[in-house]
Amino acid sequence: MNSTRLLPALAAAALGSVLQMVPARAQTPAPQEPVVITIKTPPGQMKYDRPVISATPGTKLRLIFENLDEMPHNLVLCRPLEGKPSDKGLEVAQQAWQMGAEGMAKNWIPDSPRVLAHTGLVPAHHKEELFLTVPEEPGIYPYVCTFPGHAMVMNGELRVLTQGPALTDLNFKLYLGEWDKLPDFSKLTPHRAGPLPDRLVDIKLEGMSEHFGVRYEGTFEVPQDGRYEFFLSSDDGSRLSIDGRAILDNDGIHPASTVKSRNLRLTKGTHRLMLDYFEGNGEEQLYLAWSSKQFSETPLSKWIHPSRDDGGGAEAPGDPNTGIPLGSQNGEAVIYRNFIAGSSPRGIAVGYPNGTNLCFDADQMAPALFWRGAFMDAKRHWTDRGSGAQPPLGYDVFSPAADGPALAVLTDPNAAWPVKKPRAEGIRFRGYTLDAKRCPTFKYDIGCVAVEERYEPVGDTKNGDGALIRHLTFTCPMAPPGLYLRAAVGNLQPHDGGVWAGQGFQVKVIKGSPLTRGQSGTELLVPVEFENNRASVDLLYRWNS
Amino acid sequence: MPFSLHPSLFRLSAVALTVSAATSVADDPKESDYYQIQAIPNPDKLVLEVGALEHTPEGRIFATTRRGDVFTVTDALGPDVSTAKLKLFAGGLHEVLGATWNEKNQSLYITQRPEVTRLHDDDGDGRADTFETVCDGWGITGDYHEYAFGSKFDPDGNMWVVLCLTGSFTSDTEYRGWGLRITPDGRMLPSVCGIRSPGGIGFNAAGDAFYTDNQGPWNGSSSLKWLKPGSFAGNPTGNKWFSITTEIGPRPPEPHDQSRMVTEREHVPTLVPPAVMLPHAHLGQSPTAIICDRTGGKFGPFKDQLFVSEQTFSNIARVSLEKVNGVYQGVAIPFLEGFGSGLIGMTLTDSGILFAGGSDRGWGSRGGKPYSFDRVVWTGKTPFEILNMTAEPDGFTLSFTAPVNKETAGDPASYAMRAWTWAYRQEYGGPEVDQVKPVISAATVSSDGMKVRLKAAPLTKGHVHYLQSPGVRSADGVPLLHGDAYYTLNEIPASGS
Repeated sequence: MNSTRLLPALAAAALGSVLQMVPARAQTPAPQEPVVITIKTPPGQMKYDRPVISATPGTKLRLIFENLDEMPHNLVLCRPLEGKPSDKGLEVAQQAWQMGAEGMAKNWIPDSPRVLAHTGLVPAHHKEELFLTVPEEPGIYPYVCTFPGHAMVMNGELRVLTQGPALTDLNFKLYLGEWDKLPDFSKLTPHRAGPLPDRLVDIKLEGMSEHFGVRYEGTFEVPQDGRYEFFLSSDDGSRLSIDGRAILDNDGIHPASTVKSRNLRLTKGTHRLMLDYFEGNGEEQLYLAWSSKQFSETPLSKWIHPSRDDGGGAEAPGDPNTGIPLGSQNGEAVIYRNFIAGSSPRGIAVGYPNGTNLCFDADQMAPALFWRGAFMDAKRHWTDRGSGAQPPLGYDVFSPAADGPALAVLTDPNAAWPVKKPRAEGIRFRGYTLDAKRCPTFKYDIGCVAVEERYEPVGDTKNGDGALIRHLTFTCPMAPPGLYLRAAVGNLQPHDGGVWAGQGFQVKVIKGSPLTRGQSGTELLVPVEFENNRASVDLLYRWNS
Repeated sequence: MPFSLHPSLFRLSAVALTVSAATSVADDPKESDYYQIQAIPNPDKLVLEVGALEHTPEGRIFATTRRGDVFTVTDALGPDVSTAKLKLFAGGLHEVLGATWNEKNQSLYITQRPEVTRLHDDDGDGRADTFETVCDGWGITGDYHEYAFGSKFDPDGNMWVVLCLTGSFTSDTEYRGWGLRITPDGRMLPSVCGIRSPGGIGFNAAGDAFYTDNQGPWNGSSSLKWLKPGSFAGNPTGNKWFSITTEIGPRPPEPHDQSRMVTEREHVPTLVPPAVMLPHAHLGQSPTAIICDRTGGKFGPFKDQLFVSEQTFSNIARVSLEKVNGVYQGVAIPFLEGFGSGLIGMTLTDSGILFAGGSDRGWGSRGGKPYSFDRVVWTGKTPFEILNMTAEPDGFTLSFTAPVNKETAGDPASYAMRAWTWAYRQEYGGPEVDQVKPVISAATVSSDGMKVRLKAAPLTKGHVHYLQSPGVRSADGVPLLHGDAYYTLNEIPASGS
């Protein structure tokens, strides 16, 4: 495969990440030096590792596309769709799908004027380079994988932006002390003072990490009369003043979780800026930026707030994930128990050796989520304090019946299914045992019924047929009448062979007598029928394609 | 772990460490002459963010981690630490901050975020196969701060679990801010209310349970608190859950804000004052595990005393308790510093080897490493230390680990004392208030040189009495290894008692 394509029609322009743009604010890179950007496809995630890249007009770009996934992908950079600033390249992908049989031969690249640059169809574990330039016209240029079925999740955008001016002058005064809020620095004696030659606000002045404060004073040039927006975020407190007037107050002890902003009218010419900052203990961060109608949000600080960072320079070279991806190894299942988005806080995620995954909700005693591909990224929970819930790392997530308990006793077959409560009533979780492949069998009691629930991996996601068979067994000395399992709920459509198709999944009752009910949506119930104090139900869950 | 509002609120100030430098000479004794910290080898660079440690009678160590793993450590008790081997016993658990071994059923009971779980290796391959939920009767919301710390078994076979509040100021789901007992058959007994942000649980030699609570709302400083069943530990945020339990009687009255612990004890009958304050920024900032030396002298001279580890300062303090008027109180003395990371878990084997480990993830620690796992071995040499400090109606009695030099120890000028307390208030933490400077008027040395009776006045009920002893020398002329002692005087013994 020809690994290099040149698009001669385009003029020179710079393409870079936010961090790579930093020098461009203060100085112009050598004109002949191409900016290198690498976009990768992390394994099993059906996505580009960089959903956003940014560029300023004026420099060459060397784009390396590295496919670390198990299936082939391409990268097609598109011109913006008229009237629709970012269509995520879906229109182009649509044209590719219509290529039919010849699509594969043409690497799924349609004959479209919107295609600006593209790679070939890059096989698993291969890479390809593009040398290109981007148009002078600012805008959002989507890139997308046009391999049929990938575009909905596998896309990103190149933001062609102009940058605002940097500060024209910047000085600091460093103070030492312990504060809970900003002191009046004018009454204190600075420990040290001096200029900041690169004119970027920087708190790493002496490698200090706690108990210090800084006053920054500088000037900036407003290019024309108009409205300008300033952005400020800090850990801990900060306050921004323009021309002697405090405009943004972010004082106190707190993390840099939010970015405050304020819009104000400025006249053309030189203005004064003063920024006060202090750090108590723990982490220290300071973000300052400005924007206008003429230029995009332009950092004036060395540190870029994470909400502004498109992932450009933060990651280590060669690392396809900025996270801590977990997954099945050595043919054994893997378990991750933590706060998982889409489950109660008692979620137990399991990654099976066949590339299928689920999260069992030990509050509702129901599978909250199924997905395929990569398992979980532990970075959120395994770095810093680990706050928040983490969604699956893979793709094609579906929830067949997450809204409420999986099992319930109904007084009659038409009685309403119990609504979801923080913890399912009358149900007690008993834990799980692991088999030789470390696949769990979940155990719980519902009233006097002891339930065991196990998922058997079948097929393989690499071959497109990975699925899970859900085996449930029930034991009870006095079997209750009217115990039902809800296998799926939603807009279910019957298919051949007892298969029901729901939103993104298919379910088949292998063992049991399915019963459907409901008007607006459909509930697929399976009555739990006891014989000699025992009952069992088997269900197959698989993906639509 | 500190479990506090924000790292910026921690004060890593050095005010605590200003004493005794004047007497320093080149050959002064140092901690490592007596206790040596030895890193457990970790050739595979496993991320050992230790959350709890436990040992079995035959000397196997279990190390649980914040990432949810449980490792076994074998061959770790020999003279050479390099023989120790780590192996993964279980994974996929949710931040394990408690572990206790049941010899009868050969199971490890761990406390993870949502539950107490029994782990058992069914097939003998060294990995757990059974993960049986013993009790999951408390609520979790998904807030990172809702830590659950589990104890070892108490003399009745119960486990204690202490539940951190949701963040610093709220209790958003069942029993956040409570201490629970879990019976051997998995029943949950809500037993103590008033908890803020625990860092560990342990038992004293009498079998009473204690936990460490972090500085924050209603805690002017971190402290060691007694988990007396039925009591109120001081933070009323979780008392809303009296609405769902009658296990420990009616809801106690709300304490008054901006008050003093000693005042509110009159007003709230079930309020138990902290047994020992661990003065903030003196001894540490976020106390964690508690273990009792039941080795009968195999770990040095501190028989039946408690060791309390520290997350922020990466050190261990020593605590000796006494009961006066039915209330625990006692002294905290620095013991050993220099661990690689913030300590969270400890265990002390019957053979007298202490294991200590932890992590500084999310809060930072003096140790500076992201995690550490060490053992501490007593060299067999006895340090010259204040063995104990007990309250008297008109002062204190000090006992020592070796005979004192009678001239220096008998001179009141060899000592200095300062006393204070903290406001008892809803606001986060607080300064040292109500400062008192007791005068030491006499220091009487016992005939065997092992004790000194100090007369000090005034004594203030409810205050920490901070004793410095820079002038004291042993009979061999050696200064105290640690001359600072912090005595929490909840009760002043009556004369003639």
